[in-house]
Parts: sequence; structure tokens; C-alpha cells
Amino acid sequence: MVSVKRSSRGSAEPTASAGSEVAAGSGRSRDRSPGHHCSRPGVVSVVVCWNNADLLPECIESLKAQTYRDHSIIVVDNDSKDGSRTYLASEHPDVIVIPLDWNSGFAHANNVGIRRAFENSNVGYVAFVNSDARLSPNWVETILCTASTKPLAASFQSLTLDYADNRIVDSHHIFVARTLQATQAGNREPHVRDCPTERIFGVNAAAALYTRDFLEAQPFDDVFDEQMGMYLEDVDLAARAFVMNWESWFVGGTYAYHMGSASSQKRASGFSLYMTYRNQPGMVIANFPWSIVKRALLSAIRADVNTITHLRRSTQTDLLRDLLRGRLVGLWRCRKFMEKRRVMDAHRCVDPDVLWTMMRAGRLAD
Amino acid sequence: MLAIAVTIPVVILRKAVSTVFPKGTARRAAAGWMARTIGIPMPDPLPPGHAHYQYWIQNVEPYMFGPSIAPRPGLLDSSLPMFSVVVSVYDGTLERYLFALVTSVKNQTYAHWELVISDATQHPDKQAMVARHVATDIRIRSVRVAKNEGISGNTNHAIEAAKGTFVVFADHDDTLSPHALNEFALALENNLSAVLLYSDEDKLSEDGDRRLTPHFKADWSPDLLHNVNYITHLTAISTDVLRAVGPLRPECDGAQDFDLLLRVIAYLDVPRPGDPRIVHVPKVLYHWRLAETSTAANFSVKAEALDAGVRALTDHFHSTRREVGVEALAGRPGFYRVRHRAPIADRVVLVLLGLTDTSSARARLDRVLRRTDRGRLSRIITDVDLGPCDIPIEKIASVGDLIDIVEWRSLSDSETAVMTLCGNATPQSGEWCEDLLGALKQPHVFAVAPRIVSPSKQIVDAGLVEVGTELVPLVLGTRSTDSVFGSFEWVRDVDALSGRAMMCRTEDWATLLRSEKEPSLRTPVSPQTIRAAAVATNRVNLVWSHATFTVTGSSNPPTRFGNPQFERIGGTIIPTRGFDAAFGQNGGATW
Repeated sequence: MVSVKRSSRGSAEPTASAGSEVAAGSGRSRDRSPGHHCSRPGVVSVVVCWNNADLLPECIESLKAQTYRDHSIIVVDNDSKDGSRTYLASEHPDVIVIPLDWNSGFAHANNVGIRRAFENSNVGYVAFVNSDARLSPNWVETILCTASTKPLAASFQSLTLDYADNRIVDSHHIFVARTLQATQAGNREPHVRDCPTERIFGVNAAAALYTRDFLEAQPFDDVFDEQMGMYLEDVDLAARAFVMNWESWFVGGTYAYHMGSASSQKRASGFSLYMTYRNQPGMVIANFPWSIVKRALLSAIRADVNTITHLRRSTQTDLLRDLLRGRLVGLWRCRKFMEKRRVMDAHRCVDPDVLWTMMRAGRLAD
Repeated sequence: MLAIAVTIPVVILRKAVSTVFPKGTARRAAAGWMARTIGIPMPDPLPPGHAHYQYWIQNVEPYMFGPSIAPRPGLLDSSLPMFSVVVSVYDGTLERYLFALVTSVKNQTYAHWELVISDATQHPDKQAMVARHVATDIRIRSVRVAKNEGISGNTNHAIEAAKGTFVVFADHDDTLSPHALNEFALALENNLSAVLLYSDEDKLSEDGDRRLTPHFKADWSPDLLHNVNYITHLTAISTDVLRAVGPLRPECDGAQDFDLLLRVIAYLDVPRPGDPRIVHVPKVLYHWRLAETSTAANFSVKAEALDAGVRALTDHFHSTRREVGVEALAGRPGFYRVRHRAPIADRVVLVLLGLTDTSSARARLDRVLRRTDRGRLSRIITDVDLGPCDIPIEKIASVGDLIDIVEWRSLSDSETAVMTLCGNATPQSGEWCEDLLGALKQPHVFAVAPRIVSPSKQIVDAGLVEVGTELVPLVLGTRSTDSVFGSFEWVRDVDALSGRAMMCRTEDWATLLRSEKEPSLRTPVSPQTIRAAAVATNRVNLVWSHATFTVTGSSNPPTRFGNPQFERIGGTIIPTRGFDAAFGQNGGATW
């Protein structure tokens, strides 16, 4: 069930409202002066923890080592049984811990963290950091420096490198390709040179910073879609941001290190494949204009057939079963997302051609 | 099931087509052409050399760019130059074009810029589109233009509002390389006197997915600019100079950028090649979209551009007080032909060498004279007996005689130029003498040569360029007129001339003969000598392509510098064969 937000923030989506006398840098009714971010300089990092006592110390310490001053940490604990809570209470009393008494899933835990973060009116940014990630000390500072010129930015990410081998890229950005498949750009590529700051389709929520303006401009009560549970919930958010004309940015000059996909075995596991294929149709249905779906449908089918052929040829029948099961369940669940789509219809303002342009590589082709 | 039912026939059809018409074959090209002719939509064929260029984009270009000197707006240093990118937007601007342009500006690795959009839109949707893009970055501003005044009028509003030290011109449907402004800033770091910067460019497919047909430009050359606006994009002009030369002229719409460039050049008092005030950044920093309304795709769309170009050139020569005739080249839109006028009294000495026996020599002389303005010739110097002629003929026996004629001033004062013609090249039309003499009379020109082609129009001699330490033909044997270095029909600054057909001043001719180490009547001066003499006097050698000579009876030369290629040498990928034909000192890409 989708809970639609009925708040007075309806004017917050970045549809152009400027009249014929367009003043410099003010396309929106809200204050967009260069220093507007200074009014809410606070940054909160939200870490979701679920039995990660082994990984948590490094993550929390890297967050506490941030050079940016106005920075605090919230850990949402999904009912860990491995002593994570006692570790945090004894070692990091300044970290706010929100204990949940059941494993509510990644999306819900993040939403809880967001709500708690927004209780402080000084907070302008929320960073989501996976418990198996760590950040460079200048991560927040570098990103905020870039953010200061971008009033309509929804989210930022840096280059995320492989935790075990820093010469390999984990993620540059994420995007929905012209085959309608969620794609992790840069994954497993060698890290040969610095990447410049650029506009991207969306950010990987393993280590990403979102602006409060964007998170508050959601048409739904939940930022991350709890129907999805895990996998693609960040792609869903990225696509939602893009079709609402909010910008996502890749920021160069700083790094995050992520463990999650370090082992490619885990990546191709049946569960992730099932969840990805289950959530994909919903993500597309909820966010994308029909014209794009129509334009992409044939190549989407072809991509599916290619994957199925590949799995069949390589005799990975259990994976194939998971994929097909995910796909069928996903199509069945489409009706659930139609309700979400109807809400999005009122908020979707992107030009389909622009969307299609960015669906080629998730960035401006160059 | 539906998925499989739809996909299997598509896959089978594709397989069948690729089996019957394999990729890259003539059969495939023919089939594509026929399909397009009968109206089946087919993707456009890729230009020749496309694969090489893609390889270059992936493996060579990324390593050419310098470090970012101002990566973040928060860390700005006021001593760094600020660029004002100006762009004019009107109702015809598609959202995805503007999106690509604005995003490419926001993606700049150099943070010290502003984007000034001149907003001449009338439709509310388009106004909302501009407002939306303006809102995305605090460095973007828009200037409202109440009535669409055309490209010049609209852009002028943006130029007026520009606050940067340099104004960068962009079109609403093109994109910038993310490194563009940083590369300009790097070029300015070592060069305080720079006024005009320009970069190489390439084309962008209409959908923005592919980069095609690069143009690696020549370094600053006034003669080439008179021939064609080879600078176009990306151009940055110092704001002070821009304010001094005045705004774009609406009467030159279509060639308004050409007109502005020429006025800047005139303001700088026509800098010589090599002048530090004009900087060529030899990197592809601009992607020119092949949009249907753009000049990039189809020149005839902008038919007015032709007249406007002639007008801009005429005004330029008028303002620099030079008497030069200007006309548009028929069938070659955007190309102009200029005729520099030499003083009426000036005469040319024709030195006809490399002739073997009397009978063929006489026939050859007649062939040359038939296509020559005889009034300009004062005498003919030759090494064989040619028989009677209405022009005085002097026969010489050795190089010593040749030097004597020059040294002892048996030439009159009006004989200011010497045309050397060795071998069997003959002019195609009688205008060559006037053309070459006029070009030679420009103070920055040392020697000028015609372009020599074979009967089948393959290029035999279009000057020599320095590659490494060797002088090699700029282009040899190619029949295609367009290359990654531009058209071979353009006037070119080259490092040296082959010396087989060449006109230079009489006093320079004496210098050349004296400094030649092993002079012979067959080749009186070598390319090395010509190069050294031109460098010593800080002048340039020109291949004046408006004058074409034809060689007779020779087979076609082997092709050189066709498609560019790349090689991996010692772990690094370097461009070889093709891209390495740098235009040398006066001509370009040195990397």
C-alpha cells in the first residue's frame, strides 16, 4: 500500500515556475541564493546495521574521521544479536542508535533514520553509508563543496572503490539502461585515472549523500520503497529523482570503499537475482513515462532473452529458475506499483528525450 | 512466451541480413543505399575512419588532458580566468539539445565559469524549459530577450551580460568536452597575452550518442582563415577585446562568428602565424551536433551564410586597407576565394628548369604559356635552347649563371618575383600568376606554391611538413578532399615546399641560391633550404590551393596519410600514420 504524502510541500518539486522575467539563478519560489545551503549545513550519516559487528568499527571510525565538522551519525540497528549495540554504546556514545526490534529490511531502516535525522532542523544533508563501506576523510567536505552550486541536486556519490582491491571500481553511478535494466556503471572496471565531477542518472546508495530538499520533496511518506525490501530501491529512488527533474551528481576527488560486491559470487547469487528481477518491473512501472517504456520494450525483451540464453548455455539452472521466478512475481506485482505510478504522474516532469539520452550510459555521452 | 515469440523472428531476421549482407562490405553499403532510396529507414552509414576515431577517443584522448586547476567552485582563486559561456536559445531549441549543452557546461572540470543564456523564447513551455535549466546551478543566468532578434542580436544580449574575462561561444544544440574550459585555462596560464583561443572539434550524431569526423585544425593562419572559417568552435575571445570590436553584426547572420573573428583579427592588426595572442589548443573540445537545422549537417540550410561570409571578408579587407577580391567558391559552400592584388608594375621571372631536349622543351614552354598571363612575365630563364619567343629568353649553362643573373642585378627593379618550375607540371588556368604573385606580396609570406595534382586529381604535391626531423609530404596520392586535418582544397601553411613549382621574391631567391649546399639545375633549391630561409626571416610558406598545376604522363603516386591509425608501442598507445602528420611549426597538432 502506498502512503501518499499530503503535505503543504507540494510546491517543492522542481517544475519551472518562473515567469517571463527570469532572474538569475532563481527558477524556483524557494530561496536559491548561493548561500542557501549554509542555512542548513548539518550532515547526518545514516548507517543501517544488521549483525555487522565485525564491519561496523571501521565504518563508524571513518565517519567520525570526517574533516567536515557539522556531522553526526545515526545507526539504525535491525535487531542485531551479535553485540553491535553494546559495541556502539561502549565505544561510540556520541553515535545515535535507533534500535528496532525486528529485521525490518534496508529500506524501512533507512526511512526510520531519515525521519530521525530531520528532527534536527539544522540538518540539510543525509548520507547513507552501508555498514560494509568506509569513506575517505574528506568525503563529506568535498561533496558539500560541489553541492554548494547546485540548488536542484538530489544526491551525490563519489567513486566507490572495491574495499579489498582499491585498483578496482565498485561503482561510478547507477542508471536504468535502454534495456530498462538497472546497471551499475564502472563495476569491476580498473581504476586507472581520476574521474571528473559530472551529472549522472543516479547514485548507488552504498555510500551516497542526499539533500534534505529532495528527501522532503517526495510525494510518498517513505523515501525508500518498502515494498521492494532490498535491491533496486536505490535505483527506484534515482529514477524518481530523475523524472522529477532533480539532479544526481558524481563528485570526483574523493573515494568511498565498499565491500558488498567485492565477491562476485555473492553478486550472482540466486537471491539477488530473484530480487532484482522481481523489483525491476515495479521500478519501471512506477517511474517511467509510457513513451520510454514503449521505446525500450523490444530491447528489454531481447536483453532478457540474452540473459536466459546465457544462463541456459552455462547450465546455471538454479539461477535461471530464480530469474524466471523473479520475473513472474515481478510482473504480478506490477498492479501494486500502478498506484504509485498514478501519484508519480502528477510529479513527473522530465522530457522523455532527455531521459532517453541519459539512459544510454547514465551520463552525458562523450 | 510473448517475449520469445517476438524476439525469435527478430533474431532470425537479423542473422539472415548479416549473412547475406556482411558488415563492412560493398554489398552491404549498396543494400543500405537501395533501402534508403526506396524509403526504408536505415541508420546512416558511418564515415570512413570511424573505427580509428573511436579507438583514438578511448585510448589516446583521455591522456591528452591536463590536470584540473580549479576542480571545485568552493576553492576558487580570483587570479584564475573566468569564462562566460554565451548561448542563444529560441523557440526552435529542443529540450534534449539544451539539456546536453547545459549539462556539458556543468560537467566542466574547471569551476570558474558562468553560463549566460540569452532567452529569446516566446512559447511558455520553452520559457519554462530555460527557467528550469537556469535553476540547476547558481553559475547559470539567463537574459530575457523580448523579441527574437536572430542569432547575432540574441547573442549580443548575453555578451553584454557576461562578467568573465573571456567569452566562450556555444551553440544551443552542441556540447562541450568536460575538459574544454580547463584546457583553455591551462593554455592561458603560460600565456598572458592571449586574446583568442580556439580548439579542435568533431561532430556529434543527432541523437548525441556518437562522436564522428574530427577536425584537427591548423595553427593560426590568416590565409587559411580567408579561405574558410576553420576556427569556428570552440572559440574564446577576451571580453575586453570583444567590447572594443563591438557586438556581433545581425547583417552577417549565418556567418556572424566568421565576421566577429575577422574583426578581432583586424583589431589585433592581423597577427602573423605564430603570434602568441592567438592560441590553438590542439584538443577536441567541442562536439558539433549534426542537427537538421545546423550548418554542421547541411550547409544549404543556411544559404544566407554564403553571402554573409563574402560580406564579412570584404569588410575585413576594407578595414585593414587591403585591396582584395572576395568570392564564394561555387559548389563548395563556406569556402571563399580571395585574390590579393599585386602592384601593376610587378613582373615575374619564369625559371624553367629540368628540361632535357629542345623539341619537348619547346612544346612544354608553349603549354605553360598558353595558360599564363603573359603580361606578367618579363623574361624566361632556361637551361635548354627554346627557339624564338615574344618574351625574352636567357639561356644558362650552370647554377653559377643563375646566381650571376641575380647577383649582378641584370634584373630590373620591376622584376620582383621569381617563379621556378621544374619538371613537367603545367598550370590549369591562366590566373595562377596573378594569384601567386598577389599571395606572395603579403609581408608574412616567404614563398608560395601551387597545388600539384595528377590527371586523375590525386594530390602529387601539397607542400611538406615536419614529422619528427623529417620533411614529409602533407598529403600524397589521396583523392578525397576531406581529412581529419580539413580539406586539401584549402590554402595551407606548410613547413617547406618541394621546390618544383614555387614563387618567391627576387631577393629571397638570391639568398636561397647562395645558401643551397649542392645546387644543381635539376633542383636548384631543396626543401630544407626553403624551410631554413623561411624560419630565419620569420615568414611562412604557403600552398595556394586556388592555383592548381597538373603533372602529365606520370602514374598515380602511392597514397599516404589516408585513414589515421594507432599503434601500441612500449605499453603506450600513440597515434601513428595519419594523425602524426602534424602541420609543423605553423600548422598544428603537435602531440
